[in-house]
Amino acid sequence: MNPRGQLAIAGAVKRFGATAAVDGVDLAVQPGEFVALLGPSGCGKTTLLRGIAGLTALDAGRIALDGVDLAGVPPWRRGLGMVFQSYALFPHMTVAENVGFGLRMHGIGGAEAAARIARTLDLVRMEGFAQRRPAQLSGGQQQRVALARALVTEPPVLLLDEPLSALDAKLRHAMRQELRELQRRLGITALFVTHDQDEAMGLADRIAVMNRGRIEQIAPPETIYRRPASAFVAEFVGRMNRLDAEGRGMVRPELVTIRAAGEMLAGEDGREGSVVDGVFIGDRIEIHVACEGGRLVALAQAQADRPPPAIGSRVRACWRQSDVLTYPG
Amino acid sequence: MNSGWSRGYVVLAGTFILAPLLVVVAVAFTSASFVSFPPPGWSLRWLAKVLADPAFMRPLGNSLVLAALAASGAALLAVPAALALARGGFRGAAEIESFLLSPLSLPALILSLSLLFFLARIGLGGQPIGLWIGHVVVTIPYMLRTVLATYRGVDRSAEEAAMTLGATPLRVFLHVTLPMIRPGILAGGLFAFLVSFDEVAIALLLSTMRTATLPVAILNHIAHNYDPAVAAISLINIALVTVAMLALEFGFGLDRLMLSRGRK
Amino acid sequence: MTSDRRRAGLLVAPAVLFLAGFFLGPLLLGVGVSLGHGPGGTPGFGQYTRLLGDSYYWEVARNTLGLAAAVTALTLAIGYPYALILTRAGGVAKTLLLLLVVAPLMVNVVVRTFGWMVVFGRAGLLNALLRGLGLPELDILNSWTAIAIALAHVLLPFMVLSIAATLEGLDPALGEAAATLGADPWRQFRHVLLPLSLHGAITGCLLVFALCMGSFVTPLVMGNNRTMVLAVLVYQQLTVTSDWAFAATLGLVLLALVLAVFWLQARLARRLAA
Repeated sequence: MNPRGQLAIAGAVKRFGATAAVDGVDLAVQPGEFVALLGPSGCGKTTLLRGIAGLTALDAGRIALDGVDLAGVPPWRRGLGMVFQSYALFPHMTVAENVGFGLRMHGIGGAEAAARIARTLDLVRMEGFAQRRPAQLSGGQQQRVALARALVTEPPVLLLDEPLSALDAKLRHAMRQELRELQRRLGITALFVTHDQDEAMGLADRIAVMNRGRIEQIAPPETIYRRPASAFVAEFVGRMNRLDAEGRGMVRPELVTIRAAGEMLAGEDGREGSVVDGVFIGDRIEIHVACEGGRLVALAQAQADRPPPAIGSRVRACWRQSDVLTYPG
Repeated sequence: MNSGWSRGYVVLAGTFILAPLLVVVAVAFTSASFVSFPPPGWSLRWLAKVLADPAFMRPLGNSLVLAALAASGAALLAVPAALALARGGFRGAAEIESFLLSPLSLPALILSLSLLFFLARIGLGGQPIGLWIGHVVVTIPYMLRTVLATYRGVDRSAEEAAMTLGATPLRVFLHVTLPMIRPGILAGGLFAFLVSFDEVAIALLLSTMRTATLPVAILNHIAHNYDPAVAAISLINIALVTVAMLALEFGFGLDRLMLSRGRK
Repeated sequence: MTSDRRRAGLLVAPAVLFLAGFFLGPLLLGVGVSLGHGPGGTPGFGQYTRLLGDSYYWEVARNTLGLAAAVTALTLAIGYPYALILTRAGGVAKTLLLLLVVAPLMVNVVVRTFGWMVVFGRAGLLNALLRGLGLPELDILNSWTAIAIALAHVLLPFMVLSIAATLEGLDPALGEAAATLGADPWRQFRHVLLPLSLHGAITGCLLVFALCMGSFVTPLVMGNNRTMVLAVLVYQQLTVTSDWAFAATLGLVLLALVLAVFWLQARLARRLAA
């Protein structure tokens, strides 16, 4: 485990004109931890990341790396690794020159630089591409080079700004796994910005869900999903049925069971309505029920011997009272 | 980058860019009978003199008429070509495009000289039509480039949608294509107008006393007498170009506003 | 398919025929005239041997190239920082900076040259400033320096726009990436921005160089016989000497020089792209 890489952010604020992009964020990241900043676009997650990198000056707050305050330290002296959404590979340099850039800026050259470049390219499985130019690489390969370039100086913290968003779905999945394994192997602290909840769930030790410049909840993925701290988190992560218009009571579709009209078990609550649609999605089936007070969705295991209820039939959508999440309006 | 340095630099560069224009404006209002800076006093006598002087007013009229005719000619020739070239797909399209743009990369003096020989050979030497031909040649590239860029930038599936809705090619053109490329035609036309209005090399060699354009008249005047009349007529020239620019920009803005409101 | 092709042909034909007749045709005729196929000429390379044999024309050619080089250097020195500031500015500032550099394009060359005459003239702005500072007055109106400055003013927009177009196309994250890798602002510029904007700077330089060789209004109006360039010489042969064959020859030499510059540009562009 890397002993370095403890990041502490307290009271971070960044305003653009009248709006606060980052509005009082506290966040502590432990050495070797992988934290995802998850939120809709415009929630301030990228601004926060850029603030940590020193690319955007914060209006207030304190950022400390391993106990050292970073206030007034320009980005080129922070020594943090960063992977950009567009990769930002230098188009006029070869892969080796791109990866070696950080070493060159730190006065490391010759055999040592060559060895470190080779080792890092090995790490991201790009060893055969050292003399290529970025334009000659595929999106996934560019992504690996960008990662190698950020890692070669062995930074204590790796900042990633939606690094997988430019890749197609299949590649994104593979790269996600690779990134996770690499981060574990190196024991590097990683802070990852994304708007994709699957990505955050699949990668992070903890997820910080951001909304309107604030962190609404920071917790391991399972906690975020099962015990969302606010109505925003509940609805942003995973799918949710609202039991009233204001969203004071909510229940997840997979916890809703479809029973015959009039049926209900002890400890359950339910609503009657007519089936409007049954959508088959592989191993599961999604049943839409039009009830009084809104539509409810139930997600059930698809069973070959039990056909879903016919469209138009009266059913009762039921859920355990203890599964209902309640939030003050 | 240090913003103080940047600001200082912009002020210096701005002074360099604007100085020769501002001194012209100042001298146009001089009360003196000779060119000097700063002017010893202010008056409108030179502006009045120039506005009443047919030696300047006739060339100004010539320039306006020539620029309008040249822009129209360039539009009639270049817009159809741009439509075909933007669709592409025929052999030699790229070569034809570079050929139609090539008058841009040739010094106007060379073209002017060749046209002088050519027009004399075919018996059009000294004719107004020769001047028009020369200006259409140099404005075609501007028209073509602007319309091409506009047409390549719009979503062409709107034309296909119109066809599937039963529009004939002519109606597709009138109701879909033309409205889409209209900003390009207007901007290209403005460009062509200004290029022709400011053109010197061709006008100098191909015009006569009777067909001299404004730049030619100013040039001739400078050659013989260096007086504030030049500044006054230059000011009128600058004012006309500025008004034309603003009017069209305003028209453009309104046009786009109306279009986007229509879409909603 | 065939009817599509025929329609495309019909659409491009008028423009192609017009330029073939009134652009290509005249140019070819110009070559003919230079080879003595004009009125009263004797066919052959006589005009060219006359040109190459006279040291005066060599000097004029040197002047032309020297002036173009000086103007190019001047516009690059003024234009590169300007383009850099322009691309980094945002919002209204950017629009204003762009307008400032493009606006003079809308003002005719004769007027702009006259403006510089007022600046450099004996009773002009420069001497008024010098007088105010208690310095001796200058008479530089007809000098190479004055002509070079006026031409740099005329051609500056082309330089700025060429460089700005390249800078504008760069991902702003490139400089930031260099910063997070330890490059201070100077090294971000030196290792990332400068090499990546070289293409635009070279394009701008060659464009300005070629345009400068072809400009004759400014040197004609501001210069005198001491400051002779090829383009002005062509004009004089036409209007003063009425020697059409020799004017055509000089014109074609000028054209050859301009085309050589464009050829160089295409070669360099291909080299940089590779």
